[in-house]
Amino acid sequence: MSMQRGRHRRPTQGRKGSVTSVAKRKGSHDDNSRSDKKLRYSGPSLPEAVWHHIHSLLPLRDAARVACVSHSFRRSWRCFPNLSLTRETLGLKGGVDEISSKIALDLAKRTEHILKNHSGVGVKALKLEIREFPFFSTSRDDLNRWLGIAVRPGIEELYLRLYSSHADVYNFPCTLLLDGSGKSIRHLHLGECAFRPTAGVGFLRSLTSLELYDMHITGDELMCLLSSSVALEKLTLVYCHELIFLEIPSLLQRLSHLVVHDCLNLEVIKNKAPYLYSFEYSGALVRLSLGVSLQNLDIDASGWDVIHYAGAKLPCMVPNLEALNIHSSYVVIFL
Amino acid sequence: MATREAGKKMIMLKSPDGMEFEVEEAVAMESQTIRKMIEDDCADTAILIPNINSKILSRVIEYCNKHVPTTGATGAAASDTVAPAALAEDLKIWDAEFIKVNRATRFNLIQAASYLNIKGLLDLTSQTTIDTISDNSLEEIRSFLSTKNDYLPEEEQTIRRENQWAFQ
Repeated sequence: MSMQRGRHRRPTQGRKGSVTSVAKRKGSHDDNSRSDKKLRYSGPSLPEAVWHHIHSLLPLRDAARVACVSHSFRRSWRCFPNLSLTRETLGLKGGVDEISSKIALDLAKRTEHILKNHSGVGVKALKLEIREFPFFSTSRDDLNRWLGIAVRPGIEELYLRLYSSHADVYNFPCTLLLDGSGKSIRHLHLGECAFRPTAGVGFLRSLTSLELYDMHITGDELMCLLSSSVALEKLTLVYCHELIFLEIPSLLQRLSHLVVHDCLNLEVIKNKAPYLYSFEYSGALVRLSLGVSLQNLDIDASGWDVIHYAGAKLPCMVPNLEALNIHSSYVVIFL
Repeated sequence: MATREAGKKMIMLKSPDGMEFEVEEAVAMESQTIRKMIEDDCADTAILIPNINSKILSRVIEYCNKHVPTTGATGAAASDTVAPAALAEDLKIWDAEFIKVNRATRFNLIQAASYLNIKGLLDLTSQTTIDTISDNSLEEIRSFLSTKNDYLPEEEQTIRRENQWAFQ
């Protein structure tokens, strides 16, 4: 059977006509100029679905500009699947640490407007980075509402990073992950807020990568989360100071990479995941139990004799180790 | 027509302008569209690829040949001796050369990649197009996209106002 008889024919334009004329672009910077249309539109064109695919790959700012090109691209903009809302993507030049309340209000308005325009149309990835939270105009209610708009069934990536100098911590609304969003989410990155999952909250069965930076989460709460994350491949924990006991359950059969950096109160790391391949650690001396599958170990230690520890403990603890990287300021002192 | 050559199953692809290309099945199956036809047992004779001329089809085959795992232009021997990172770098350089084509050819490649469902080629051609769109004026973008401004003046004003931040 030939493709001509196939069921999945797509609209395409005449082949021969499409390659004969290449429209040369001239550097008109006048957006309102509509002259020379016929001459300049004579090049090959693509089906609308293909343009929408290309549109979906653009950075946020370019995608918003392209929405002004035609009705077709405006429709495509409303379904734009990757919303990355940071100071930079919203047009504020980098390197500005402190901003005025007027600019902060403007950023919040842009965020609100973009999210409202995309409500209920299948956001696949949301990146939300808010500095000085909850300063100026961005309140907890705003953030709850914004997350509620985008974190819906079908979302695959959520990156939420708050930069807050307030003692009052934002509580990530775990209930958002209950209505099906938890089933589709593949990458979850949370920073500088509290995450308090309880037993039965969320079945993150598609989650492959979990990154927690400077998060308020206890060992038990993390355990609740991990016990439903059977697809998890990489776990990263940085500055999670409420963790004392970290246990990786054996049902994480796909977990291959574990990264733990500077969780100051951590005392024990106990891995039961059977195929853990690589472990990266920095911080104080903790009781380690890593499993026989480990092949790559990277330890950045200060304040304890990691070389002596490695010589004494590692041969029994990780018999299949193939690569060992050690960085230690402690050793340098004694050389 | 499906034949055998040196133990490898071959597939015949035909362009509408009458050219025939005999390619390894594994190379042809870089296209998910062709893969489905082969898996559904619909490919026992030559497969006609509609709307993709021989010039574009030969470029597509060249791409698939390079990107098929373990075989292709660099061959299986190369992948045995070269580190994966070096291979990936080699592919990146090759891709950058491959995509140095005029806009008409690139659009035809996008169309072919979309129809044949070859994700890597669609990503490569789309990304190059995206690089061209960035930092151009609206009128230049319209010209490049070969699309008409179908907004009424007041509609255009509204959408421009809504997205004013993106022009600052």
